[in-house]
Amino acid sequence: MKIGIFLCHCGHNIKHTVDVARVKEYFQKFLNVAVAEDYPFLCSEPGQELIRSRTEAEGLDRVIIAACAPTLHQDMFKDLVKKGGLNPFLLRRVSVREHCSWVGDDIGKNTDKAIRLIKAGVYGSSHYIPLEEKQVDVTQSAMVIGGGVSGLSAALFLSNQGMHVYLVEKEAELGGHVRKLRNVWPSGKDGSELIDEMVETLRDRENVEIFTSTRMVSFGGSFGNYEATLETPAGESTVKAGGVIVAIGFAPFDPISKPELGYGKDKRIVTTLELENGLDELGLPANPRVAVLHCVGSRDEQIGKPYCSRVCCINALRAGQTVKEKFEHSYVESFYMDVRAHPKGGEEFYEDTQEKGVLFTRGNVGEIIPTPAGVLVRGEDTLFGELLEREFDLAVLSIGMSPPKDNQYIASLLKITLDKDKFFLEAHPKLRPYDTALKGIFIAGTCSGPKDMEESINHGRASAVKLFGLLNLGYAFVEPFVAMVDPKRCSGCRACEQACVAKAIKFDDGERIVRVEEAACMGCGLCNSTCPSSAIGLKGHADSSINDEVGAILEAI
Amino acid sequence: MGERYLQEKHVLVVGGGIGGITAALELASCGVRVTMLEGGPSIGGRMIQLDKTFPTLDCSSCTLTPKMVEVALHPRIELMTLAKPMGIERNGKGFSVSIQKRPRFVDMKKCTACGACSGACVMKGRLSDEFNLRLSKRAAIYIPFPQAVPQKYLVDGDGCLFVSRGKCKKACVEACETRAINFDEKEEIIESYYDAIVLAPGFDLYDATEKREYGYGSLEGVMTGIEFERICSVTGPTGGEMVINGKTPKRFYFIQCVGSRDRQTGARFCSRVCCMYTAKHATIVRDRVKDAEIYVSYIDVRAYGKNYEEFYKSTQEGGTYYIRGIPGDITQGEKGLLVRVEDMLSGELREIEADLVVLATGVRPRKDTAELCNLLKVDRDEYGFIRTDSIAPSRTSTKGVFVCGMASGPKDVPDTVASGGEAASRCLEYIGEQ
Ligand SMILES: Cc1cc2nc3c(=O)[nH]c(=O)nc-3n(C[C@H](O)[C@H](O)[C@H](O)COP(=O)(O)OP(=O)(O)OC[C@H]3O[C@@H](n4cnc5c(N)ncnc54)[C@H](O)[C@@H]3O)c2cc1C
Ligand SMILES: Cc1cc2nc3c(=O)[nH]c(=O)nc-3n(C[C@H](O)[C@H](O)[C@H](O)COP(=O)(O)OP(=O)(O)OC[C@H]3O[C@@H](n4cnc5c(N)ncnc54)[C@H](O)[C@@H]3O)c2cc1C
Ligand code: SF4
Ligand code: SF4
Ligand code: SF4
Ligand code: SF4
Repeated sequence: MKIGIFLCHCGHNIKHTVDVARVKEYFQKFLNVAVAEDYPFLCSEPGQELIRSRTEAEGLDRVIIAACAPTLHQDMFKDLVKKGGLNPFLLRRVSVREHCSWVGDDIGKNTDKAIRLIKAGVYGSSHYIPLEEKQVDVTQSAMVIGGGVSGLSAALFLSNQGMHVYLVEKEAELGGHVRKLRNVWPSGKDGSELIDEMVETLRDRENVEIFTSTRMVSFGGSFGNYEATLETPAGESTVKAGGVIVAIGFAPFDPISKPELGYGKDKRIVTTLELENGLDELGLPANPRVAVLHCVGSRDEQIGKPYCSRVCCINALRAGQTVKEKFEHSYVESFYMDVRAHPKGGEEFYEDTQEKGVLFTRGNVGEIIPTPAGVLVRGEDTLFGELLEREFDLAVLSIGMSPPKDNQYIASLLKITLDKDKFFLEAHPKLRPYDTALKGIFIAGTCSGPKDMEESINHGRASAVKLFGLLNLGYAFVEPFVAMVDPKRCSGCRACEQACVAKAIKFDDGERIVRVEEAACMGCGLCNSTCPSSAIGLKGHADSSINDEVGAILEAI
Repeated sequence: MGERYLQEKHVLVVGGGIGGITAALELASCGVRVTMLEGGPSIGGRMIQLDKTFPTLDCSSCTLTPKMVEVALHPRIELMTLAKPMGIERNGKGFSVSIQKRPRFVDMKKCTACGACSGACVMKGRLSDEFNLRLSKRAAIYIPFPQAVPQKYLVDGDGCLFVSRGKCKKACVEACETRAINFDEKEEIIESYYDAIVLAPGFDLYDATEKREYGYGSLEGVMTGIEFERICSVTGPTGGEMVINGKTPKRFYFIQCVGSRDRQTGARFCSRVCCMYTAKHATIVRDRVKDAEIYVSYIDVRAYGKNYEEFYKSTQEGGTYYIRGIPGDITQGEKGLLVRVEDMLSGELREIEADLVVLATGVRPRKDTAELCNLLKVDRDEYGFIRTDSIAPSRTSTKGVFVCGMASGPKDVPDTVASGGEAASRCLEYIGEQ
């Protein structure tokens, strides 16, 4: 066997705390190692060329790439060894960055650890077998869950490109929160008009099926052929979709959970969302005194919401302007920590609001106390370090965005992950902000974290383009890691059959052993861990491989 | 569907930063042919100049280079560097474009990027390196940075003695084993038809020499945020060592909103990235200079993105002092630079000594964006960013021309990526219309 080891410096990241020269020297003398090289950035063009050309020139049987975590650049590295003439499943990635150089500062110990990890990779991969990716036909249709502005944007694009779109909305009406906005900043347009326009276009398209007042009750299948059961007012309906865009939006923060703010106890304490309906119903006096509170339900660790909701500073400014426009001689005071008027045009809007006479006080409001004369706002002025107490006729709470109500429900049906704040977790915060770890399942708009309308539209359309790119050929490749039964070892106890959630294991009555339906198997490995006789395992992930890896880690170096 | 009918359509993407890269890759994966023009010698834009990216502190090269390589290797993307559009005429639904391609003087097919030429060049170590913001020197034949895509050397015509003055012994030509250097290469004009155009020309930064009171350009130890990125980076002038003029600074002072939120500089807008890149810089300093003293001056800390507030909090908790108030001036004191600032929270006027002051300069539209927009009759806003509307965030005033990234206003990387995807979606709709 000819093994090639490629060790990356990752710029500073690995080289700083791992003695790469020592690692290289160690493996140059190692049994069966034909190539041991180090390089500043293996992911760069010359780094890639190094791997490809050496694999080809030496006719390597195994390639070990010791660099970043295997979740990064996996497809790229697989492609490289393939171009070098090696079956891509004979590639082994070793994480010497995340699992080693980033963990400790001690160069000596880190270097030892890097050697052990790479050795584990060498031993483990000796049990690998060449595998082939499967080509599967994909259904050229998409399910969009959530009919807010991001979901509608995704549906518009996909249907324009000729894909069949199932748009699933749990409410009776499409449009989400934007439908409730009267004067959407910065366009000044009416939210329901914006939505109606989008919905009309969708309704005119034959390849769009809209399900309102509908809930998804089950979900299964795999990339290219997902299947969902919908509970519609007309009864149950099953749809098949190549991919899914989750766009279930956000839940406005409910200030009831901050009882000190008196919300719900007094009509003079309202949220920015309620203010969308205008000031007329509020029975304000001629020159009203209005307080606007920023960050209600955000940047607040005590209630478990440490994050910034991104849009509520602008909403607070909008609230101030709404009051000033209607009552020129009103007294409006905004209480803030930082004014995050960051969107395009936001800073100008902030200046404009100040010019209209809205006062900005840097302060923390501790409580709001309703009295017959008004609502009493109490707290601390953090600029002057004084206590503040002022009486107002109205207090407007600029509420933040909380995760959507169905976050857990949808996450468990689709088997996707939530982040620490219980929004959906993206695959990579920078370059894959709307992908999930599952192929063909995307998260768009506010369900992955606070966003304004423009950003939600961007997300909806950008994720739709990605999905279209995955499905437009009508076929795709999937990984071959499916379960495999060793008929000699299988005792027919059927424990795995119980464990398999994909119902991929069938009992063969004649032979009295189990068999795997490869098309249904999702490669989760549950069966593997239940089998008492080690008779079922995943292709390419033999038990012996793991045993030898553990052995390598423990061996003296 | 998809592939079959789109295959003949051809889109021009102008600019090879993360915005243009995203748009190009999405278009190509949907079956379209793409030509990408990059004015510089390599794609990657500003992001490839960064050391790490907030809020994850992911290494910028590590996330971006694979995308750059993907562009170069994609069978449906044609990459042209040192190239920009010179003339554009509407032609039916699409555009006839003449592209100016500057000479590289190195045959891309032959160059192996061995670097022998650079070592032999008589101008070696004498010309300012733009990629490192002139903080280091290079030869006249060079590669802008180790991970450049394409991975090919080029001759800087202005710096090369032979190209600019006609006389040099041309040691590089001797040194090159593959005979890749060709001084006969001429500027080319390429005429082509495109069905649609995506603009992604990115941004420039505010010229801090305009703020005389901060002494940028005259005081030693005052630098800009982007320069500081290069100082932090392994591929930068110090190889990633935090060393300035031979010493490791101990007292760091960061000033936010330099050339943003500031009418005097003509920019009322917020640049949207400088609060966070400052927090990132402070965190990097805390990590690498254990006993550093770190101050940040701010008006508001705009940590609005996912996990940004948490990142800001942890920067503070790591021992960075945030001072609300923007310094009036910086002068040379006896034991370092003197930063004079009114701390608005305490009302105190303070004088703080620092070894290094980093100015978080704001974003500006690129100067040549104006030229590009005039060619295309695309509207710009009062600051010169390309005008769009918030309902169709990539649509410009000219049909068939779309924009993404910083060119339409300040955006961080995730927002640029999403806007690149959105631009691709509008572009696909446009070219699909009959
Ligand atoms: C008070 C306030 C004022 C605002 N003002 C502005 C403004 O002026 N300008 C601006 O740009 N932005 C503004 N925003 C932000 C704007 O509302 C959001 O950016 C936008 O609504 C996000 O769209 P979305 O599609 O992600 O989510 P949503 O609008 O929340 O839509 C999600 C949709 O999914 C549906 N759904 C949820 N769960 C399920 C499920 N399980 N199955 C099926 N469907 C489901 C919901 O019913 C809803 O229709 C404001 C926000 C607030 C709170
Ligand atoms: C100091 C600093 C630190 C930052 N740190 C972070 C961070 O940590 N995290 C984060 O998310 N964001 C960060 N950013 C923001 C990030 O750099 C931008 O979001 C991103 O670079 C925008 O990408 P873009 O493609 O729009 O533009 P650019 O990166 O500017 O790319 C534009 C490209 O187009 C080319 N071009 C321009 N005009 C033409 C023309 N006429 N013809 C041909 N080509 C042309 C240019 O040469 C360039 O390559 C930082 C910014 C700065 C200044
Ligand atoms: S956007 Fe403004 S109001 Fe909203 S959480 Fe952030 S800082 Fe607070
Ligand atoms: S790996 Fe095993 S348990 Fe998992 S789906 Fe396949 S057969 Fe079922
Ligand atoms: S031009 Fe020649 S000498 Fe210079 S890097 Fe390319 S191959 Fe090497
Ligand atoms: S992002 Fe921060 S530093 Fe940059 S202009 Fe805005 S407020 Fe100022």
